[in-house]
Amino acid sequence: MNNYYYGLARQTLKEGMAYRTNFILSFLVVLIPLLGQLLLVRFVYQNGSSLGSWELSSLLAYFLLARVTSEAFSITTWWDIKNDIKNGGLNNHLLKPYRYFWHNFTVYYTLKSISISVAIIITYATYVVVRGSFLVPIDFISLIQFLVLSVVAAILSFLLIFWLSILAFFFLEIRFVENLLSILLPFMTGSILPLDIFPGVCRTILLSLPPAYLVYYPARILTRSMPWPDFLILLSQAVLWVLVVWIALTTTWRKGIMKYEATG
Amino acid sequence: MIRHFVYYLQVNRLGWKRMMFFSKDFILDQVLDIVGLVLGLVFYRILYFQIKSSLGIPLFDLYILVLTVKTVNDFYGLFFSSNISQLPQRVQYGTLDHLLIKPLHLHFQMFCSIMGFKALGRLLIDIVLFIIIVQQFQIHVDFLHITTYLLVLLLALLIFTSFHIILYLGAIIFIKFDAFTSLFTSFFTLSTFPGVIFAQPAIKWLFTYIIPVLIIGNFPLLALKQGMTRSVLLTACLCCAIFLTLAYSATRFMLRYYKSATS
Repeated sequence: MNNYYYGLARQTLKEGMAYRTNFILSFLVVLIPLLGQLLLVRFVYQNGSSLGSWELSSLLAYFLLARVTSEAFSITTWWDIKNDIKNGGLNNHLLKPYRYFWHNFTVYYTLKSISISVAIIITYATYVVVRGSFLVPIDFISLIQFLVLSVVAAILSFLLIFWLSILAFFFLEIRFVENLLSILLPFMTGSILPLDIFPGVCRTILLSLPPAYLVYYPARILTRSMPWPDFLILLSQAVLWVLVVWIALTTTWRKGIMKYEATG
Repeated sequence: MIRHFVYYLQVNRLGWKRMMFFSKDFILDQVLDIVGLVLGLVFYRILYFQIKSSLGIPLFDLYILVLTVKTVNDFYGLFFSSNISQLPQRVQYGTLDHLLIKPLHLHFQMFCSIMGFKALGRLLIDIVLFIIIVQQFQIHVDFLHITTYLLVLLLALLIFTSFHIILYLGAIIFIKFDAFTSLFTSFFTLSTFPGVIFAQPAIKWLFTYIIPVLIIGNFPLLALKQGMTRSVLLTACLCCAIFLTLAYSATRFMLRYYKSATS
């Protein structure tokens, strides 16, 4: 069975590489608003102000890293799943001897690997231009913590994507949810501003919701490593969210399959 | 002229009926619009909550800046976007012919014959919010300032539209143009940032005369704050004349390369 997923990944990679220019352009599209953020932050610090406990160099690095992590661990709906449910294509998958979840996981993250590679290259080039240095000050502990958290974030991100996509079992049109997410998530994940500078209760709520574990915490850890006990608590909270979303997902999947009429 | 007006009314009456039929879609679109706008304002509110100083830019200015950019976008959405954004599709499928053979003015058909009614609701939201913000901050705005603001807003709209016309005309030469147009239009997300952050003269020049990002939001704001200043009006008028001429010439020039072939 592992051969199937390996073959699927290779095939998807070949297809994905055919659209590499599109990947580059689409990442540049999200990078341009970042230019405004970087210039604004620089202006704030030049005027003698600061944002929370952030130093200018860390904050600039944070914004760039947050852009990469939001590219890697996004929350959206996956059109493959939606189409399979709407058009009845799910039948083909259910009859075959593989897990539908892992099939989509493989396709999604293979395609993501291309866009993440593009994102890293462009972001690094931007960093060199902004900071005037080729060296990225990331310490070894930060990198280890980031990699560990990334594994959990990747699973959490895809569980959320899968869960949102299978809502197509119950609703004909979920465009409103998609659009609402595209507006709210940049704020909720910490892509627009680091979540720790939000005021009072708003900060506490946002820091404990799943989107924070996808962008804010990974990007923050890369700019400043955490003490290991704190990191372990953070990791266990992220794993807890994985469990919660997994339970919600399996419940929704079971109900959805019962409702699914295989027409299309 | 009357013929055009009658055609405009008939075409858009159908559009209005269609929108009324899909009223749920319309309402949800307005909800999204309000959420997006509120978050745009909240961004600056949080920033000011942290820095606890005005940076020389009052919060009111930043709110008006966000609102102005959105208003220009919504006016564009109401009068022009439905036509202009369809241009690549019309070129690709050869349906631009349908417009070329009709006995109506070409530019009218290509760029402004269909209204985007969803933008009408968004514009109403903009106006209500504008009034709320002006009252909230107890800003005294006289008739002259409002007139100048509206005038510069109109010029900004014409520049914004001309820029999009020039951009979308590229679809006559290039296939699969979507990513490229998205890239250029994404520059306008920078319009909601105050002009002072673009400190370098080269960047300022680029974002005024080449990609008119600063004209869309910062110029109307200056007009509202300072009234009828010569430099703002002169630059806005000059840019408007240049962009309109370019859009007009580009349309005539590019149509020569239209092959009327479908794909």
